[in-house]
Amino acid sequence: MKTILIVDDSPTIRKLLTYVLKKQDYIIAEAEDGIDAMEKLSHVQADIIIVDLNMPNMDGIEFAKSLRSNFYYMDTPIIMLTTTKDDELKRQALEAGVNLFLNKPIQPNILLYKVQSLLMGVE
Amino acid sequence: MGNEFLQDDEMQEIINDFIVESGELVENAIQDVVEIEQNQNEETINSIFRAVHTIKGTSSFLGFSVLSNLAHKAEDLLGMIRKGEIIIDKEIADTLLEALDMTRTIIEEIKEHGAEKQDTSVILNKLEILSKVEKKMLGEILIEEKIITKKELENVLDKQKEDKSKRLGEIVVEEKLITDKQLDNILSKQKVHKDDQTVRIDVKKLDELMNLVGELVLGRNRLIMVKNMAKRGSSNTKGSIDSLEDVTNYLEVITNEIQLSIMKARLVPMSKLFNKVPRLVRDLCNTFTKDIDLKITGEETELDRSLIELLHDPLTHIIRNSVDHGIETPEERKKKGKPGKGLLSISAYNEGNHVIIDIKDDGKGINLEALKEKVVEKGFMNESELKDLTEKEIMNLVFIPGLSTAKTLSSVSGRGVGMDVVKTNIEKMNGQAYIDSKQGEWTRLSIKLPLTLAIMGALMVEIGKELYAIPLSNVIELVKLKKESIKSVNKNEVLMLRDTIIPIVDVSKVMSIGVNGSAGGYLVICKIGEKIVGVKVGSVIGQEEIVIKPLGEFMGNINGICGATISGDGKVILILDIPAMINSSYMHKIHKKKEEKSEGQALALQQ
Repeated sequence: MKTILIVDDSPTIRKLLTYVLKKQDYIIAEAEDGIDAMEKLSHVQADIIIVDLNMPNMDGIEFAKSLRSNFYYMDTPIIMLTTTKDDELKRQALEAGVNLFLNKPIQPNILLYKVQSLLMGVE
Repeated sequence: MGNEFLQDDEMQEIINDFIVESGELVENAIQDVVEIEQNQNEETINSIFRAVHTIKGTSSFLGFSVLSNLAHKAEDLLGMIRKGEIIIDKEIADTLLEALDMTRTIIEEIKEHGAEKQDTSVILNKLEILSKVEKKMLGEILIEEKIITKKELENVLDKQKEDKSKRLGEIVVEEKLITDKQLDNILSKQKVHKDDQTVRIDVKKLDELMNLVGELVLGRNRLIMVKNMAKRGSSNTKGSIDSLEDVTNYLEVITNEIQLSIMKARLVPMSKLFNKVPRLVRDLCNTFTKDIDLKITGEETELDRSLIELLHDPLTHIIRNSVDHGIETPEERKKKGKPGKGLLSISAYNEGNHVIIDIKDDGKGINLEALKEKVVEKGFMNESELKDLTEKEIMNLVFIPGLSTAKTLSSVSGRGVGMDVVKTNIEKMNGQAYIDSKQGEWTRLSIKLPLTLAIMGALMVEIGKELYAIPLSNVIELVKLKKESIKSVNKNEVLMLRDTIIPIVDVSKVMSIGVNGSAGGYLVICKIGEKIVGVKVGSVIGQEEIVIKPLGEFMGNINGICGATISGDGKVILILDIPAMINSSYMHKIHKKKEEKSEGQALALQQ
């Protein structure tokens, strides 16, 4: 089974995503911001990471950057799921190493599909 | 999103979560808006922005389009404030508050009816107007406020063209067109937030509790069974008594554990409080032109969350005192041969069931002579009485209410502004405060607090056929009282105990119970800080863990009583307020002294 790490500062969003993703038998780990996520990743092996952009302490772009400079997570797929529609931020995110930039709200099956296809790409 | 996709109960759970989370976010954001109206602080603006952003994201997910639209517009405006394109004024703050209020109303509606009904068009309009019209206004506002001239603005705009990454606001500050003072204002006025009323508990702790509650239910079942057994037939009385004993033991263990777990769940690290200290010290240093190094240790020490909140004011006061009156100015310090930078160290640590907080400064310490003078001048004690006090006891006189109101004291001795308030506050939390100092070198104020407020160990005593509880933390020993060992000093009863004179408080007199202290009985020796009193009681029942219940508003302020508890058989037992007793006996003494106008009457034993 694949493990998905959800990084979002809103517990509601985390729960929502968890419920959606659990429909497909994924193992879910949660973190509330970038720093927390880095910590989680030190003992949880994540196969794919879904991250919010705007978070306290360490935001999604910073987080993506530090993941990409980490040997173990150099090519773990990252989906950025955010409300922001700002093109500049999107560019920065993709530059930082985000694989996919999605806007909230997203249809559950689209998210599941994207997750699945990113995981397939890795295999 | 996906109402069809998720099951109804899942969806409902998520919506409930959303209501709680957003509610908290809105409350915090409202406080923050009030704060930034006074001073634009980047971190606070960011936190409002994030709150609104989160609400927008979550509500759009859940399909609450009105809410998400409102949050979206508010976010636009906040984004501009964040970028420094707009300066917050009353109008903007009002509109933001209005928008947040509306958000709250909508959340309430979702909670009540599951749908949004509010008409948000008015507020949406307002938000839009503000974020459109005022877009290029920073420069203009600065000119309007006569902070900078048109020419200066043009210069700044030119500079901005050279270096596009910089914001207008940044440049203006850099160019010293906005003074440091304005920046300082922002820092010094930083407001203390009220904590959110919800507690987040580690799931592990909650599971543990759940387990224990499960055990408790099992215990209840066993108890019911034993009852039925006893009811049905008394053929085996011994057997049922045995099993009753079993059950009570079992229940005792579990309740103890539950009590402990609940207490742990309420604990929060001191860092919650200590985090605010560096800023406070920094601002105070600015105000009083002092140079101080701050050292904080033990911020991981945990304390009941209600205590942490209550501790904020006294701690602020103590630190203020240390910086203002304790630590000298750099010049003075150098003259005295001390390092120019003062040192203020704050440490917290556990000691048994208590938490100790030490606040120590290496300032000028307490001037004992000046303090004594003041005490005599104010008529709290006379010279001969003072002679009998140890240095430590004298130092702790700074806590006498009324003494500290004198401003002259603070300038002479360098201590004591409102210290009695600090002490009363700490004692309200069932804690103790004492001071220690070496003149010219340091002062240390120690606060001793119980880990939790709600439950404490108590000594159950009987005074005139009534049961009372004395907080065990105050009790240091029990003495069997013999009539002949009671002496009288200035018409007050005292007991000589190993070279210490202990004043005796007769509760029956304080409470006007009207029972003459029967011969014999016990004296419960209590110590609060440096003061010792003996409380006369008829008999001692034993030690018990009691749950403190407040007395309620209509009789909350009875002197000498700090609460009540309920005994095993359902009786109400009053808890004696030892600090208040000490004070009242003390005040009584002073009062009497004034009446007698005794001059220099020696405090000698009248054998």
